[in-house]
Amino acid sequence: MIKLKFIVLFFGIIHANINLNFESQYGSGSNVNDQTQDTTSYYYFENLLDINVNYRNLNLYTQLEYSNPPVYGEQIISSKNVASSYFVEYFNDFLMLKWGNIQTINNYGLDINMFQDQSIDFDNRIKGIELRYLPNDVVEFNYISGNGTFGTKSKGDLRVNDLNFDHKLDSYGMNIYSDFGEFSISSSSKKTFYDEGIYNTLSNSDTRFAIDLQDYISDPNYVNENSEVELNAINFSYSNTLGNFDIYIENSNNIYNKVLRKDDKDEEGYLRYFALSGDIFGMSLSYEFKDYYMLYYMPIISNPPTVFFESSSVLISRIQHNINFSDEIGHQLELSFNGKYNLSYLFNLSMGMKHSGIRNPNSFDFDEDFNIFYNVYESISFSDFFGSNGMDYTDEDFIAHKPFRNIYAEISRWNNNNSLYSKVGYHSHYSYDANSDKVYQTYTIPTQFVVGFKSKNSLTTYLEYQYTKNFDPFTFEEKEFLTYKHLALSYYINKIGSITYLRDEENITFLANNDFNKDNVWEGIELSLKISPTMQLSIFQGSQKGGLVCANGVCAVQPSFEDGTKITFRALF
Amino acid sequence: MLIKYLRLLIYFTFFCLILSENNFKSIEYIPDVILKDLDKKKVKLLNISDNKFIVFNFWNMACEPCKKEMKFLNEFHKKYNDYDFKVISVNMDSPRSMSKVKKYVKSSKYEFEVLMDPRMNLFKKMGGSVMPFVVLADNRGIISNKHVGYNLGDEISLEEEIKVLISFNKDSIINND
Repeated sequence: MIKLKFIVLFFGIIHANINLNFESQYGSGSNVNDQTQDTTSYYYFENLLDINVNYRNLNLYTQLEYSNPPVYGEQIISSKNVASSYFVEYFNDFLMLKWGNIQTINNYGLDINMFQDQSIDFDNRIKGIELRYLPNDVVEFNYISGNGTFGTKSKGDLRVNDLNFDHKLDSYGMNIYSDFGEFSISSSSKKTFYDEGIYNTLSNSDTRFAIDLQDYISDPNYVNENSEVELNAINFSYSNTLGNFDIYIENSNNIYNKVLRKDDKDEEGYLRYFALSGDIFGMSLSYEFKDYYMLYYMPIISNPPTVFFESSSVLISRIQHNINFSDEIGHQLELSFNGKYNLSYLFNLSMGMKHSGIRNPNSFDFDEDFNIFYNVYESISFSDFFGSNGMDYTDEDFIAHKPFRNIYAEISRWNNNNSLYSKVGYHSHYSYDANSDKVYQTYTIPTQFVVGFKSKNSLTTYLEYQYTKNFDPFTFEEKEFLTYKHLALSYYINKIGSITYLRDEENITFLANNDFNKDNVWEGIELSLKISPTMQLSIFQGSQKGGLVCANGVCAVQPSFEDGTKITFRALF
Repeated sequence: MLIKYLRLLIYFTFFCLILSENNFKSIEYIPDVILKDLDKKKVKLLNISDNKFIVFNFWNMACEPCKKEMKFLNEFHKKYNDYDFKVISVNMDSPRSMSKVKKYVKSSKYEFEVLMDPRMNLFKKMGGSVMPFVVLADNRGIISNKHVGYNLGDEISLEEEIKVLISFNKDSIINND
């Protein structure tokens, strides 16, 4: 780390291009537990300084952190681990060589997609090398190798990762660019190391992997042993443009061993993805299909497409589907077109479920040696998602497949002189995933209005309404009705900043408790000042409702914030 | 604690303001990188920005303010195209969202060039961390200003800045001659 600081200093002295990016976050208030109503003090003080140094064909990036404690993660106050993230990169027209934290994606990420997202406390990067060699315009060779530690949380509302796995990656491949399309082939080897005792924590955790683990019985004798999972993959992708349409196909075939299993039998799994997009009858159309079947494997490096609608709406993001990258099959269709009177239309349908062959714990028999064997639930099809009996939560075969269905429609419009923007949407989301307690039918109406004035000032309003019917995850009986209202009203004064009023209302009717009602309100005011075009200071005073923050199908729980102050300062210089 | 933090922040803000003054910083040039366009063709950034006044805008599909700003950037791109000005739009969605990006750009009828920066290499090299992020550069490839964030009304100030950028450099070229 000391060497790294000298490199930064060295480049600084020789007048390389240096960009500094500073972000400081301070928050002090209290946090109320939704279940127990206990109030605890909530405090964070997180400071990040990104340093980017460019000198000829060299690029150096490092992130320095002082956090006591951060919003998420371990506190960093020692100078020993202050450089939390870094890389050095050399590049020219034919070669790219990077050493340090590797953030990269191969094709659509079925095999390798490594990135850091601090908003959801996600980081699956490795420390190692990445090499890309492009001898000509037809072919590209790539090689990635390194080790990492992946952290996740056994409970969504934890601030610090309590499950950590060391892992290792080696991958090499080539891309071919031809008149017949773009081909890519690669091979990778991945290893994950599980410490003893982690199985118990894992199988009782909120992670998607836990749901898989709970679906099969592991020999308790192995629980307190270290385990190593090794995966070998062969990946192929093809893309081309045919007329008005772009097509993309990717397939990843994998062989791996199950965690905590001592038999030599290997599992075979695959990740498949197909996309088609283009114009037809004046409309833009895109269709995606996913088929992810990697039972009992916890993907760390791989991060394939989610194939469902991800909205920027506050209320929709709180009920977003939590994808199971190990076992999910699904479709997404999106249509958009422009109509009369500057109106733009968007329609999106997405759905998914587990593969059939799910063990039924309530239906079993014995073979001739009196060994127990379980029957499986009857398979279902995507036609069961529609029609008068569609998404039937009383059908146990259907709900065993943990299906979800998203329907979203949106109309938006700019007026003729671009001074008024309006957007109204409708979102329906049905989810029957008992293991992750996401068993509900929910409807959301997100709206957005922006008015620009002649004074160059503007008024922005986000007004959203959501109604949710929650079911009991065991009996699938109606449990409670929830209504949420979200308002963010912001007045922006050009070149100075904005003042925003934020309000969240919650109403819960508990059916099992004689229709007992509970109301909550969170209110706050945020003042945002533009000190310079690249420097901003925001001060928030009040309360904020917590909830899920999701990206790429991965979600983190942001805790509720009560009666406190939050300050955020961002500067680029 | 809060008072202590605010006091520290005020000192640091002044420090940042002093540092961000050009006198204390070496000249920053457009980085030499190769990106792909929406048709997956490789594009050398220095080649397409050579002798042009450029506005780079960095965005992704989830960024609502970015999309609003792009509508105005497209107008500036058309309006000032005869003055050697152009907008280069840099999308940072991962490759797997490329079909949606292409669909969005087509249906919005944007005329500016859209490049893909899925690994956020260019974004980071230019010092970006938050979107929308706009970078202005003159026809010598020197970065003249950067903007973070967008609210309706900001486009008016940005247009004034583009006008100054174009006219100032024309004057300076004349003076140098």
